[in-house]
Amino acid sequence: MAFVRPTIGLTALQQTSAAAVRSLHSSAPLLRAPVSIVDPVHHRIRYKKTILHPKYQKMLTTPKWDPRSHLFKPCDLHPRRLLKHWENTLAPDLMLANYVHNEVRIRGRKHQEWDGSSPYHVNRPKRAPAGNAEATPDILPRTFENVPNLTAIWVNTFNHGAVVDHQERNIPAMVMLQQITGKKPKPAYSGASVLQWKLRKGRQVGAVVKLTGADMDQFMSTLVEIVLPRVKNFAGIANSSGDKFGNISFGLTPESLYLFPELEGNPDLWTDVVGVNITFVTSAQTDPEARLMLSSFGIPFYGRERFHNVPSLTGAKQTRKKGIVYYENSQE
Amino acid sequence: MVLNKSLRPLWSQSKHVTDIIVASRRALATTTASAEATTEESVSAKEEQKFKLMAGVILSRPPIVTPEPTAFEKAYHHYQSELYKRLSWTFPHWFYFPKGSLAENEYKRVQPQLTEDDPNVLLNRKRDEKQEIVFPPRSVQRETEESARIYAKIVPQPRKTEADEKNDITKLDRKLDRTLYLIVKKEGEFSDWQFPAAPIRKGESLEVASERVLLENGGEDMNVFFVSETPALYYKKFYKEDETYNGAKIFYLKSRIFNGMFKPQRGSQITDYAWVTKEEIESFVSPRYWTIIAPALSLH
Repeated sequence: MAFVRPTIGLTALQQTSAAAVRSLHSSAPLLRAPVSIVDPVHHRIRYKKTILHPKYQKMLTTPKWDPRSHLFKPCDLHPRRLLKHWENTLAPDLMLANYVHNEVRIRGRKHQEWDGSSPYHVNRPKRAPAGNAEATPDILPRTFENVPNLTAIWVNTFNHGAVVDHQERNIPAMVMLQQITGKKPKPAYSGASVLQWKLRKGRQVGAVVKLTGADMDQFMSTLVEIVLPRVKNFAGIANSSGDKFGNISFGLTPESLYLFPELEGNPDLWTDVVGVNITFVTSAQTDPEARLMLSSFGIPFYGRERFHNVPSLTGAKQTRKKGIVYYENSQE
Repeated sequence: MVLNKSLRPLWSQSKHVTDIIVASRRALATTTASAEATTEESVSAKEEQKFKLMAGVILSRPPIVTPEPTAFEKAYHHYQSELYKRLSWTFPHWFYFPKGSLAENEYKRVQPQLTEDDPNVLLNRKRDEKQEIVFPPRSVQRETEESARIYAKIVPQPRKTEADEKNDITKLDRKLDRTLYLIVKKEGEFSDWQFPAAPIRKGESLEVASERVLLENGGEDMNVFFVSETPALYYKKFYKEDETYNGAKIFYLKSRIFNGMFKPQRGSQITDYAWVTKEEIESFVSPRYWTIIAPALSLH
């Protein structure tokens, strides 16, 4: 490789031997080994900006995306198969399938202006949306610019054992997440104290991984081609799942997680496996569009489907709840 | 013929196709294309009803494999992946092979033993190179057919098939990385190459008519999926010597074929058919037909 990462100050041999030297003066960090000498070996460079040698000053201003930067992380390791499939096959089909003639913008619930009848209305925060509900985004007409696509996959786990038993039980859960996603998870902490659940605010209750790009593609392929077809009694994701704005969630039990090849190859190693929740974050504006997109990737759905914010639906039963119009599929 | 309707969203299922057709006709009545200007003027004197209403199908096979990356793309991905391996963590063998186990001994035995004197070597890994992991050989004593199949080296199928070598355009397994479209050539009125189409019968919806077109022309041995009831393409054709009709208006629905074969039927008057890519279609069809259908076809 043409580019060799800079090692600071000393040769590797000197650094290794210097690691054993105890030093209390300000140049101590420079004498420390630039790699962690405990397994696993992290090739991490430690430096102090203030006492950095002038010839290395340039690395402070080199942007992160530049391969010459010491912070550069290569991401495009191979062509993205799922993305190509979406671009070449799914996107044109989804655009045609979601097309609605003479479609208009559906305005979501918004914060309301004060009418200005009182002088105290000036600078007063806006009123809550109608129905005292949360504000919602507008539904825009479907064009070539907003064809639904998969944006990210969140994989998170809530470790009940760690809450009632020991905090250390989070470690195998995090390693398991890392194993099936290929990315280092971040710990998730409790936001509130709940006495009945023995939950205290600020304690670690699980872990979470956000997958994008190639990692997301890899996880999706594994899920659709290897794991889900072998899950016992798996009917699909419930049609009732979804946050109304194109994000679909479902859960996998510990038994199903053993079907991931990374765990299946060495099941004796994994004794304390906890279930995970998986959320597909899509750029679809409504849940039915997100389901259509996900099903074209090979994910099945089951149950009665309800539609909302779909403008031109004829012959379906309508119900209105909290300002959102729901349509029921009369064909099922 | 098997029709897959499950993927179609409800709002496209329940839409009245006749509404679309009426709306399209109204819109088209107000606009005149420059290419058709001369014919349009002579026709405009006649009545609008004298156009034959027809349903057509753009039947396509989506790409099966990803496109072959260019030399630049290959070099780019190679650089990135080598750098990624160089920067990645040391393989945690202590996690997968418990200390003191036979597996650990076997693993350690086959690894290359790097000299400790080399300042570039730390923990049996060269610090400026990627880690090369050697897997211990499997014990062949317990080899079964099943295990041999699982551990056999994966060899991908070739991108070029037999149909590619023979340039057989009637086969579906050619040009695996491209979208293939079905075009047909008929006796009589449709002597030019084009997508299959037929007149809509009285009281028949556009979708039912286009399904009938496929059934009558290609037979039952096809597993197809109609993407939407919304037409993907509109084509207006003019007849020069026809007393009853001034021309035909053809609405094409988009559909995908998953498996099966297109077999020309007896009563369909099909003399020839072909599965071709976008570029190849241009050499088959008439120039006017090409200018209209080209935007509806996939580049990949």
